[in-house]
Amino acid sequence: MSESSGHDAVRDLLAMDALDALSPADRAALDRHLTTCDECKRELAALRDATASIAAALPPRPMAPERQQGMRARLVARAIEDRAGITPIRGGSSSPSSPTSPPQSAASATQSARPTFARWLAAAALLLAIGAIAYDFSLRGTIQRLSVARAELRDSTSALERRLADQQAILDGLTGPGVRVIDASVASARQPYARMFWDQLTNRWTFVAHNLPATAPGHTYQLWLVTRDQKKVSAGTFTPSAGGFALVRATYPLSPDSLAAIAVTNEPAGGSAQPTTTPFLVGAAAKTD
Amino acid sequence: MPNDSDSDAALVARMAAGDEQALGVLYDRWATTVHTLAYYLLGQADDAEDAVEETFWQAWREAGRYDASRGAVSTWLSTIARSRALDRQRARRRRAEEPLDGVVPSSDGSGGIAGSRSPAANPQQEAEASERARDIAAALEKLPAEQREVIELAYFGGLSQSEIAARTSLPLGTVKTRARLALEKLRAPLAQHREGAP
Ligand SMILES: [Zn+2]
Repeated sequence: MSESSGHDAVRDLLAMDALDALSPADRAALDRHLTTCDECKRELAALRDATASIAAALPPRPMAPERQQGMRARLVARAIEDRAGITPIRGGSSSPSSPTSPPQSAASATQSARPTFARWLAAAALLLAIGAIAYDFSLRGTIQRLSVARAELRDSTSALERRLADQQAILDGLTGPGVRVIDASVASARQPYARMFWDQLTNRWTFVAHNLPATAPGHTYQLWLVTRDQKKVSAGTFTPSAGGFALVRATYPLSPDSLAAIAVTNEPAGGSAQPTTTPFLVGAAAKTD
Repeated sequence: MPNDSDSDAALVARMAAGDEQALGVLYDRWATTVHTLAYYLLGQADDAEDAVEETFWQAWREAGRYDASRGAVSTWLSTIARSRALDRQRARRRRAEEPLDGVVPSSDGSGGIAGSRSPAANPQQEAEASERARDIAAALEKLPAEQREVIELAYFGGLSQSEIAARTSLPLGTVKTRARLALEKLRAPLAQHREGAP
């Protein structure tokens, strides 16, 4: 069987594939054909549905109700754990770090700073963390949950403190094969630090900061995405909670290699079109490859 | 057509986004179908239930990989379920060196699986196996006997095309053709049940 085989030649292979009974050689031949033939792909989908219909034609054999409900509860509980209880942080290849031990990560984050952005970096009080995050569904779930939780708690500062601490614990644990987080902080426990999560598939940005000083009356913080060609894109304005927390979400498409840094400036209330002050937080983006 | 927010495909998308409630709803909707399939593949209640749990767990973990262009959600679940159940069937066969006929119920001379059956372990298991065999034969009743045999060996026995050819002493091309004709007969009534796909 070669890839030049037409529909007729692969027709019998389609049925066998729908039954998962193809030999590896036939399977490879079929896969080659399917890459170029939408008609056969549709046919295979229809045959797969036909195969699945065999189960539907059998007399139903339900589980005992209490066993079915017990299994449901187990599955949902496992899913919650799976979504939130993610394994300990794994740093980027060049600078492994752990958010639970900020003092250790300070040095590696400093090493990851890029001298090409010396102008910004010199002005910075400290480095932020930027995580360039490849697609990962557990991260997306966590971000969604953060968003929902934030909406629910907008009116309650104390509850917000509690829940954000909880959410931060979840974020702290974010990891997985597709996730890269570079963390940075300073040794002092009360220094500001922040982390940016960038879901590069959906272009969603989630910025989480701690220990931020309160803004002066009539002023606001503004978050910026700094591109490699020195363009500064506003990702929104924000004011921290009484406890110094902030969480900012934004959607902005950016190609993976074009981010140089993120920065936070102090701006007049309402924000500015371009930064008007020296940023007090800057995080350099490591190359994503 | 189900509305967008609770269609099977929407539930799987929500699962991919980390929504465990969507997993619960999908489970409520399909647990019986999945258990039915597992039961007919495995027979034993405990094994079948384990396969169901593995199926929905795998669906949760792999929800992001569901591709509607490859078939309906129910098809995707059935594929997972069958795969998990066949894993157990093969493991059991290896453990007990159980002949295939002990796993795939014979159809009592009604055109089902050819060959001799292994003696059942006890009369109750034998009765259950016969009942399953009758049910399977009934589900495939619109198929001619020679096509049904191929489907039973492939779908319920988990045999590869060459294993089916060896077992039936048929040329491989004949096995393939019978499988295709069988699926083409089975697909007709299904069209109404497909959802989501264009
Ligand atoms: Zn084709």
